[in-house]
Amino acid sequence: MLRELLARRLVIVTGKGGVGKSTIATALALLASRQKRTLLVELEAQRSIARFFGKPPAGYEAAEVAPNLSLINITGPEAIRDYLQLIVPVGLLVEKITAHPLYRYFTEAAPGIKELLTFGKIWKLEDEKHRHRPLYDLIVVDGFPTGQALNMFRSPIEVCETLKVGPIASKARHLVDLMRDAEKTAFLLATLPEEMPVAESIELYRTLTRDIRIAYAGIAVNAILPKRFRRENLGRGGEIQRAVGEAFREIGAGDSHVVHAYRAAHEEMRWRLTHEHYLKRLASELPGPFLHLPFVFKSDGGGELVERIAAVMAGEIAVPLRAAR
Amino acid sequence: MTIAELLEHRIIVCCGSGGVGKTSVSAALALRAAGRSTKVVVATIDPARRLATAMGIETLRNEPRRVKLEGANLWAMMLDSKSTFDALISRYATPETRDEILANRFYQAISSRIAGTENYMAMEKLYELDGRKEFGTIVLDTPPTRHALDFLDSPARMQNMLQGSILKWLVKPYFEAGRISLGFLRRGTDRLVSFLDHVFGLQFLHDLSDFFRAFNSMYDGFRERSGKVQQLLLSHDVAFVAVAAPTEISLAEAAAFQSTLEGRGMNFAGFILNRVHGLEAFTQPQRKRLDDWRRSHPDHPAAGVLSNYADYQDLAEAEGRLIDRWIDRGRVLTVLPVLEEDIHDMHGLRRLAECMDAASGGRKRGRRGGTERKKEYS
Repeated sequence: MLRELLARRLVIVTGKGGVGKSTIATALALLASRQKRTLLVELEAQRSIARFFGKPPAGYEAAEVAPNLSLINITGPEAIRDYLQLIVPVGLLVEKITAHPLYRYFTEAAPGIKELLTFGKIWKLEDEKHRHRPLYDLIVVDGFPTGQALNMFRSPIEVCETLKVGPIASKARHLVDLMRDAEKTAFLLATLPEEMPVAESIELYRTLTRDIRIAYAGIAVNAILPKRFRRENLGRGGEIQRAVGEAFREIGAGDSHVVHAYRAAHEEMRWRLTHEHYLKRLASELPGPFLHLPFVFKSDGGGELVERIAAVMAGEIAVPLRAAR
Repeated sequence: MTIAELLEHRIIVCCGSGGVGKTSVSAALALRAAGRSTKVVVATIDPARRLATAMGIETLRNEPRRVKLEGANLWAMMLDSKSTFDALISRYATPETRDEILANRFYQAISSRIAGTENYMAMEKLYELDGRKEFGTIVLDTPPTRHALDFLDSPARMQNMLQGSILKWLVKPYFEAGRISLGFLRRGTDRLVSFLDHVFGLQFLHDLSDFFRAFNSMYDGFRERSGKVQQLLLSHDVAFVAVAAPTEISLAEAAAFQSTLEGRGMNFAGFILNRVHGLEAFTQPQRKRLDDWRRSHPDHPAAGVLSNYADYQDLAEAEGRLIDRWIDRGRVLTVLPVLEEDIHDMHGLRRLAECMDAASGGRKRGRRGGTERKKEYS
């Protein structure tokens, strides 16, 4: 799965809010950077991914955060300004336009422009060259959550339909072509094995593949609990319960801990069953590949977590150890 | 504040980042309020399908419907921002203008997909529901946004966006003529407008000018109303709740929300922490003995339960640290545990509502969430 995924130029990670898109995108980029010059893109990030690498928050200029891995944070206003500089050659004129009272109004009101130019900026990065070869082999985007992501993917299509002529329209047409080029672009779904994220993923998969027509790279299912217990083993009054009581007495923890430990085991089993149910549902409704990622109980929430997730991802395929370049 | 005090408010607005269980918490709050013998409505955005079915709002959108539930006068509705916007247009526009606006492409784009429209329309619906004087309590579940503050800023943004006056001033003669003429653009009196024509094309400017010409007649009504909506949100009949899960992003967001609300003089009621793994914490020596025991008894029948418990101790500890780092425990309304299942029916909501009772009382310090579970399991 990863080999095919990483062979593209642009991979956009999307899914419901709160499923761990940033962690997944970062782990993927980290993994890719072992063999490719990789750019990780965050969009209007509040808490920059840079913290995973112990670096200050990323700005609109790509900066290296790890060997072979650069990070950039693209915001709508900056992308619009960037575009203006591209089509208006005179710097002074750009200043005049952005200072105009109507400017902010237009950039907020013109439907889809912000998303379009954010998308445009990503493709501009794809096109950047260093000594006649691409500056980045792979761009991984920590994408917007579902609703906003759909807006972004739709923006070039809609702008094409609305504007028809002019530089923005031709830019939009170019973007649609790139976006629909399965060799170059793909989206990776991120989800949790729970009802809402799964339902949203299935819906999003359909919209993106059928209506918007972007290539599907697979789905990463995050925070899956381990399978530890069977229902019959957790029955009351059984051998295990007695054994647990004994063990807690030995370590000098009271009865309340026995109750809590038993409850934690029960909770784990019930949630594991829920997870299995939704993993099955995903398997029956979506094509693979599936990237199963474990629930992390203990972590500092920083770089170590991302490295662990990357290691799990790497276990799915043998990542060539050959050094990049 | 306690949950009981929170429920005294006429309007409760639940905010928070995506994926924290805002919808379930809003519905559970409404259920709790409905037990207090008033007519209660919960306006939600996008509930899980099974939960929507359980509340009986799967098919009907944008109007409250009574939830089939004995002993509770509970109503629920799913917000639809496009119909809310259309209704707003119909309220203020003349019939001809109304049709023109509804058919305008620019309007269709802003009413369905512009970021912020959904937020503002949730407020608009709140104002409308409140104006009916039909419900004793209204609980509003806000749209999922990356920044909860987007919700608060939406009236100003909406007003700003729909304020045609700047545009009108700029292209006045052409507005009066009804259309932006090519001649005007060629004259190039304003660099921005000719630039916009160059970039967006004339059609867009035509749609835009048509929209504002039509909308202009109702702008004053619209602005007045949005002013009232803002006023309502400033009143102390409205309590804002920040719902957060024990993750860094969600807690940071909730903390930022509190300081902004308080900075604006709005009524921040407190935090509801959801999906917290609360456990009675081990002392350090206990924990050391547990780890030693696990090492020396790898095949003991209790080994699975104990190593699982050790993991949950780690998890609870990490969550507790995050909560302490980001928010003031004194402002926590209630700590809700992870239930063993997704909440998808009235039974699940009821359990969540019961947990609110058991765990309310924000002044209690230390990790919470364990005691109310004990009750269920012992």
